[in-house]
Amino acid sequence: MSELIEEFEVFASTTLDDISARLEVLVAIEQLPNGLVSDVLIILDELISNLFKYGGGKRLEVKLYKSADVLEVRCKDDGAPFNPLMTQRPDLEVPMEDRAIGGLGLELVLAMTDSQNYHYDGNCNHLTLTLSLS
Amino acid sequence: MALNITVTDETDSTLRLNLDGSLDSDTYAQLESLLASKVTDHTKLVAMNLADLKFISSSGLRVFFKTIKQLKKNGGKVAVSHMQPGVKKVFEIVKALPDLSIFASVEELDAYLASFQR
Repeated sequence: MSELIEEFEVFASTTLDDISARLEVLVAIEQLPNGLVSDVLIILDELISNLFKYGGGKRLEVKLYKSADVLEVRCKDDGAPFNPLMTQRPDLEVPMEDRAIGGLGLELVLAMTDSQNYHYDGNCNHLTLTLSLS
Repeated sequence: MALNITVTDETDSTLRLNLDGSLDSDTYAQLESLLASKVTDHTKLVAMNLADLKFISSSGLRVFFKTIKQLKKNGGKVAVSHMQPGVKKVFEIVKALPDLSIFASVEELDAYLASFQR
């Protein structure tokens, strides 16, 4: 069974500090391991900058669910239909000078999560990511 | 989150900075515009002390990638020292470490800079 441990809305005016403060509270009440705070912030920073810079969205809704061994990050936004998991992945094996600068955020999200699921429904993008708690 | 950038040394060919705080979507533009105003075709080395950099996201990585590309084109380098584990992990994921000169201490970096400026 997974339990909802936090939910909040993110707007263009929301800063990463606001989100960080929420996560710190979860750490303080022992709902979130300290080691996952920066991973979650990296993920949300990526989604937020995509949404407000390119996606034309106004609002991102974030829900965090926790079960015995998994943290689930459920995101829902009202931006243009966009599946971040389908972004073209950069070739990380070539030296920097031969790489295109792009897709870095997706690489970080994929590295920090165990599963990723996207669907578009009800005029919203839905992205569910899971992070291992162990 | 907040980012404080201090320019600790600046010559025609080198630029040394301290980054303190968080390099993310809120703050990357600060570093980007500072580098745009200071890095020229003559710049051979941008050295950044990351001892107080606690967080980096893809927005911050993008500034590093741009700077590395720009300097490499002119035979220059980007050096970093004192990377914290969380920041290092992010660079590792995108396999950017081979493109950076990494120094463990200020002394190592000083010695390298001295050889550079000779």
